[in-house]
Order: sequence, then C-alpha cells, then structure tokens
Amino acid sequence: MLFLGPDRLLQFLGIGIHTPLARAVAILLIVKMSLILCLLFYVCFKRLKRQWQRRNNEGRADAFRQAIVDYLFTDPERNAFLPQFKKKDRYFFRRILLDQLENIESAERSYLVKLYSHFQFLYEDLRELKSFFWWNRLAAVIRLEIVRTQDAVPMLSRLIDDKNDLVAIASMRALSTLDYPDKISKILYSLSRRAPERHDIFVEILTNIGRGQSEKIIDYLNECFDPSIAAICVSVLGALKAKEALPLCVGLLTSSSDDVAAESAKALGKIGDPQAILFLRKEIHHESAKVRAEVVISLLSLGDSDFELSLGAVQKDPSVIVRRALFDASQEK
Amino acid sequence: MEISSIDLSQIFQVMTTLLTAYFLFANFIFLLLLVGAFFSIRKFIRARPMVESLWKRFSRLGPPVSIVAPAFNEESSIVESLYSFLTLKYPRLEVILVNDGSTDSTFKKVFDAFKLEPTHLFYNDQLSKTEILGTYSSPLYPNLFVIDKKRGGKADSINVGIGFSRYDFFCSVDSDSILDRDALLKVVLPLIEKPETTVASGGTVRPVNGSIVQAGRVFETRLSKNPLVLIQIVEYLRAFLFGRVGWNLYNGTMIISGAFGVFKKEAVMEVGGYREGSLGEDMELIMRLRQNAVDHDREVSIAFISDPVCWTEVPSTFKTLAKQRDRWQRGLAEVLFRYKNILFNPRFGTVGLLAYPYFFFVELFGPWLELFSYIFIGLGYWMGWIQLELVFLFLLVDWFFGILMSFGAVLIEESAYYKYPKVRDLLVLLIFSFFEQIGFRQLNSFWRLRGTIRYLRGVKHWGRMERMGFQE
Repeated sequence: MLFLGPDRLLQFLGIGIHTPLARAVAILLIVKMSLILCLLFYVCFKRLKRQWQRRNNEGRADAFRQAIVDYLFTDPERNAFLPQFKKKDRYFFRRILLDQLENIESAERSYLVKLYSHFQFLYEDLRELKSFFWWNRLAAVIRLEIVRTQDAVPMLSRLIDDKNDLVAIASMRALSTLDYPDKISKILYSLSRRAPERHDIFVEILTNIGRGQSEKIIDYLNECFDPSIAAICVSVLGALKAKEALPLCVGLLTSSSDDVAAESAKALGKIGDPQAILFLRKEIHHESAKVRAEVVISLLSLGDSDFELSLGAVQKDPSVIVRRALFDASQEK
Repeated sequence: MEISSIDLSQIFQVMTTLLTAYFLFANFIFLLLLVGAFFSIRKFIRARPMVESLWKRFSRLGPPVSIVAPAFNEESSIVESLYSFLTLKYPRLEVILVNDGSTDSTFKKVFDAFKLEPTHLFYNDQLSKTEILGTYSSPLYPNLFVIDKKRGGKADSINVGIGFSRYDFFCSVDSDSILDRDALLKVVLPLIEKPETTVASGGTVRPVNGSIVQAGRVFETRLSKNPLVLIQIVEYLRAFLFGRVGWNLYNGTMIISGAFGVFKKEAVMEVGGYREGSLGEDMELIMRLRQNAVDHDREVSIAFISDPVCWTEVPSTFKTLAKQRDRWQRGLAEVLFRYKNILFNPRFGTVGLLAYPYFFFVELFGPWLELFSYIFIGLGYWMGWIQLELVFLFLLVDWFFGILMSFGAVLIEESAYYKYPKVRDLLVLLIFSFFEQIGFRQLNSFWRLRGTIRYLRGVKHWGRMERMGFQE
C-alpha cells in the first residue's frame, strides 16, 4: 500500500480528493509510515538479539573468567591450559578478556596480552583500524588502548590524523600510554592542532605523558605560545606535584595571561614547596581577582604565618571570589 | 439564502484546507526532528565506547559541581531525593538544599534524617537579598548543606543556592527528583568538552511513578498502573527523545528543564541569575543567556544529552495535571512574549529562524488552532458545508500523524536506551501512544488554552501541587 504512490494511498483510505494538499499529506504519510516500520523492524531485531544474549550470558561470563584464572595459574609461559570457547562466543570472550586486562598489571598482564594475540584478537583490531566506518575504527582503538601493546604504535600513529576527530583523539590517548621515540612532540603537536578545546582529553593525555617525566611537559610548555594550552600544562604539572616545575611556575606568576598566572599560583600551592611563598606574596595585590584568589589559597596551604596575620586585609578585598577563596581555604585548614 | 449558504460552504472548505495545511507544516517539522533525533542518538550510541572510556577516567578530572535543590513542601520525597544526590557517582560535589519557607515538615524530616547542625557558610548575596533563617551542615555527609530561608519562590531559592555554592558549575535539580547514579558525570561532559562556548547542559526527565525506588535510586524501572501516568510517559519520551534531541542537533535548544540542568555559574551570574516571579524560570534563563550572548556578539551553546536521566514524579490526578499544564503554558507565554524580538531574528541563528517560531506558532498557539479547528470542522460537517473526505484528511493529519510520532518516540527509546526491559511494557507504551494523541492531547490543549487566557488576564501564582512521594 505504501509503495503504490500518494493517489492510490488516498484512494485506499477512502479519500477521493486529489488536490496538491491531499497529495502532500499522502506523501508525508508514506514517509512517516516507512520510517516507523523500519524502526519497528529494527527494534524487534534488537529485542530478539538482546533476549538471546541475555539468556546465554548468564553463567558464561563467570565460566570465562574462571578459564582466564586457570590459564594464569597453569604455566602461561607455555600456553599449557588455553581457555576453550565456541566460535560464536568469540567476541564475548574478548570482552571478558579486555575487562580483565583493564584491571590487571605486572606479569599477569603480559600473559593476557599474549593470550589476546594468540586468539587473533590483536590482528583483528589492527585490521579494524583500516575500516571504512569510523565507529569500527574507534572501537578498535579503544580496545588497543586497553591492551597497550607496542605492535599497535605504527598504526595508531597514522590514526592521529584520522578524518574523524574522535578516532584521532582516541589514538592520541592510546599512544600517550605507550612508550616510543618522539611521542611527546608528535602527540602534543597533533593534539593542540586537532582539538585544543577538548580540555578533558588534553588534561588526560598530558597526565599520562607527565607521569614520571614531567620535564617533557616543561619542555613543551617552554615552546608553547597558546595561553589556554599553557594553562592546562601548568595545571597538570600542579596535579602531578612536579617539584622540577617550581622555577617555571614562579616565572609564569607574572604571565600576561590571567589564566596562566592563576594556574601557576594554584600549581605552586599543590607542589607544596615553601620557597614559593616569597613569590606568591608579591602577587597578593595582582589586578586579577582570579589570580589573587589562587594566591590566597596557595599561601594558606603552604602555611605562610606572616600572611595569616594579615588576613584582615584580604577579608576586605573588593572581589567576592577572593573573599570566598579565603573563607573556603580557612575552613579547609 | 442560497447564495450565502454557498459562500459559507466555500469559506469553510478554504478554512479547512488552511487548517490542514497548518497541521501538515507542524508535522513536517516533527518529522525533521524525528529523523534528526534518530541519527543524533545513533551517533551518540556509536561514540559510546569512547564516551564510556572517558567517563571511567573522567572521574578523576571532572570539575567540582554544586547541586542546588530548592524545596517547598516536599516532605513526601525530600529525604529520598537527597540520598539520590549525595550518592551520585561524581568525584567532587556538594549538595545545597534550600528550604524555601516550607509550611509542612520538609525541614524537620531533613533535620532528623541527616542530624543537621548549625554552621557558618560564606554567602554571596549578589543574586538574592532574601532573609536567611539559618545554615546547617550534616556530620553524616560533610558535603551536604541546608539553607533555611523565608519564602521567595523557586527562582529566588536557586539564586540563594548559587550564592552559597563554592564551585564554578552548579546543577539545578528539583527536590522531588531522583538522578541516575552517573547522570551528573554524563551531563557535565559538554561543559568540559567546549568550555568556551557551552554555558548550560541538560538531560532527560522521565516519570518515576510506578518504578521501585530504594535508597535514593531507581532500583527497577516499571510502568505505573495509572493510565494518566502512562500517557505522560509517552508524552515525556516524545518531548525529550525527539523534541529536545532534534532541536539540540540544530543548536536550537530553548529550554533546559528546571528538574535537571548544569550551568556555568559565571555565565548565570553575569545575566543576573534566575528571574524571580517568573513562571517559566528555566526557559527564561536560557533565553536570557542566548540574548546576552547575541548582545555581546559571543557564540553560545546550550547542550542537551538524552542519556543522563532524572526521574521525577508526575501528576497522577487530572486536577493536579491540569494545574501543572496551566502553569507551564503561562510560563511559556510569559517567556515567548518577553523575548518576542527573537522571532525571525537571524542574529539568533536556528533559534530565531526555526525554534522560536516553532514554539510560538505550534506550542503557544497550537492549542487555540486545534480546538478552533475541531469546532469549526465539526460545525461545517454538521451543516453540510464540508465534505466528509476533507474531514478525514484533516483527522489523518491531526490524529494519525501524531500517533505515528508518539510511536516513533517509544521506538527510539527502545532502540537506544532500553529502559523498560519487558515486552509487555513496550506494548503498553505503544498502545498508550493512541490515547496520548486521541483524548489526552485534546484535553491538554484545553488546559493550555485556559493557561494562555489566564496569562493574558494576569494570573501569576503557581498553584499547589500535590505530591504522593516515590512509592505509589
């Protein structure tokens, strides 16, 4: 009925009018009915699939988890006791294996990566990275990020420039957890070019890179001219409590960007080195309220006794941000 | 006599054709929203692995958020709601309950349940100067603060809450709501992804009636046995899952529900906070944020995410529902008339050229046209001036198309979120899609029509809402 055209449809509905309006109604009806029918079939298909999966998932996950534990306890060096599963359970097993990989570190982890590779999952993921559909590439990148294998570095490096932003960012994030030459400059350059506004990912990637090697962030910061990126870098250095960043943060207290100056003041408080007190005190009358607020918080957290004696003046600060910062910091103290 | 009868017949024929064309146009917009919403939700679901992996790590990076919950006579649900807010999966948050001069035992229930103690808190009175009667904290939950104040209305209470909030982002929630455990984590994401332009982000609201609520969580999603609630479930699905998602796709979001939305505090303070005395304070704030952005030549983005869910109690009696719809319509009229400069204004982009005209002509004047057309076409057919076939055509556009849209919303929900796992529930919702369009919609149009008339007559009060609590 839907495919016979608007006139036939109108006739079928007992409407003998064939004005342009009636035809428009019939055409819209055909479009809507077709969409709803497609949606209905899709929903039925998904419902059946879910029902089937739900029925079969019970107990399967536990069995697979047990199989993985057995594998780890029975000479994994020689793959003595490989988990067994049916072909149709292949991807379900992969999911369980990835769950385990996310939570396991040290030697057991390397055995599980070996297992992942043994069952050809790694090969499939690397192949998926070339998929035409971005969502397939994205899923493969995220899986490879969990697996954290050096074998994926060349492919992931290429995906940094993927035409889909999500895939590109996920690849950068995956690479940031791996170790290979030149990674810092490559990732950070691409990141600042591709998604400077994605602060969340930016912070995460910087934190991944900065763990244990905060000097790499410091080097990058020395060459960075974008104040918003610089502010993020300083904030990460603060979060990492990187003592080696102290001179740089002190220098950035006088930055022309208020954001950078405020983040530097905050970072100095987090780093917790009393040497910073002298420099922070100089900025207590900074023209930006945001900077003054961070200076107040940092000075209180560093335990500056002279500053504590002069709190009365800060309580009269014209900015509510500074007064609130003082109140909150005093309460926390 | 014969000539005038022919004239009237022609007038009726032409008018019926025009009315049908109007409903056809409205349905065409619905169709665009439906298709947009479907693809938008599919895209979101496809990107879910990334979003989920982000959320896992995001728990360390999320900015602190102040939850502001205004409460006026919410004794039946307040404790359960507070547990829901306090046990959210979020790294750093504070909950600020503002007791807006409740006359029932709201304050006492909170006082007893959380063993409140008087405390001193910093208050920025830039947005509200209403007298504060007391500030309290809880030794059981160090991040819970209760403000007891004189009655000033919902907008004033949120403004007071903002004044007490410590963090740069605040989340406005209704005190008769339950949030999904990860709702806040999800709804904050757009504000982190695009901090320069995004000033507000909202999530979906769904009726909680009938579901099992335990310790501040929706333990099991169930459908209510009350037909009026079932109809509202379909209505909420339609409004949120394709109405708001569709408009969001074209950056045309004009409302973030007062029941659940996260805002950048600095932006809200810049525009003077919530407008006191406004009946549609949630929509009014969004319009003011948009107006402010255009005035200062700034780009602004209001995000809507369909996944994070806030569960709220919906009216279960006709009387309460009529009052609620009346108030919503008065709020809509008030906001649309206040910002009438946006109508067809290209400086506002999609909002000026599409969303505002849609709200103005379809949401505000739709009920007038709908009820008028029923009377007009009924009279015309009774007098023999309109052919039966033209009446059929009109009903096809008005009723059948509406049913298809409600069907679409239920199916989108099922395909994407699967909140009602029983097959029976799905069938019930599909059946109630019929009743939502035939019977309920007409009644709702009547309430809304009455609301518009009451707005024009200057009626300003909210009316008393009866709450049953979360257990039916």
